[in-house]
Amino acid sequence: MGGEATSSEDPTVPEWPSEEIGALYEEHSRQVYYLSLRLLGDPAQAEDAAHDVFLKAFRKLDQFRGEANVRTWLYRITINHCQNLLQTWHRRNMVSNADDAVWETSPSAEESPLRMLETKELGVRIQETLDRLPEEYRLLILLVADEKMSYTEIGELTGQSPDAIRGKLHRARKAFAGIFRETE
Amino acid sequence: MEPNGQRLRQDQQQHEDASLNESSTTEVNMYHSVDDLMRKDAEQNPPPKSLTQRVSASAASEAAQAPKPWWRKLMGE
Repeated sequence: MGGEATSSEDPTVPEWPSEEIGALYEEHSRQVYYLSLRLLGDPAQAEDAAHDVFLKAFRKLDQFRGEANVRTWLYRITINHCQNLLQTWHRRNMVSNADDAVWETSPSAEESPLRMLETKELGVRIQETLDRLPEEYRLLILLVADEKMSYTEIGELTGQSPDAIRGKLHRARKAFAGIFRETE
Repeated sequence: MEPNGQRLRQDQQQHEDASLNESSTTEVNMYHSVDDLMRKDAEQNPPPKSLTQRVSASAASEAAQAPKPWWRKLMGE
């Protein structure tokens, strides 16, 4: 790992063991957290999952070198981690109430109460819609929302051709819109 | 010549096929597409600040515990 550790007097500024690790987190934390949030449906679990995903990634950073796309690599770790968590929860019959959990997400403080309510309601509806989609469609909808992900990269992640992704996305978007309408 | 209504319906169908993810749902239309809706949702759900602190603290802790490579020990670092 190259680069010097970051250092700051300000306790709110994170101190990373290396610039490379800090940069990796800064660039991809939004996407890793959001994918975890919508796969797990629970902000607290998503935070734990994103934390674990980045630690796994940091440990394997040396093994990663030479691969094409770090975003795809992080998404693969995230998907595997969240799927393992979900399988464990289902086995234990301890699936949390996704609706309640999403209500705990916190929009920025500058937003008006009405805007915050709209944001939360929209989040609840999106989570409910995603939860009702087949797993494959849910994943495609989430991955394609990241504009940096091409169909080829999504295909690599899901083991399908770009053409297959295109066709399935068409059906996934239609299914999403149909279910989303029902959540009104 | 086909009736105007039928042609209109065909045009509408083609438009739907071309845009792939259009929907009659008000909210989806407001965000133009399912993808836009999801991107907006992602914007509205940034990672909590506590995540950054947790990850950086854990990464620093692991780095401190990691054994030094042999060549660093050899050089007395």
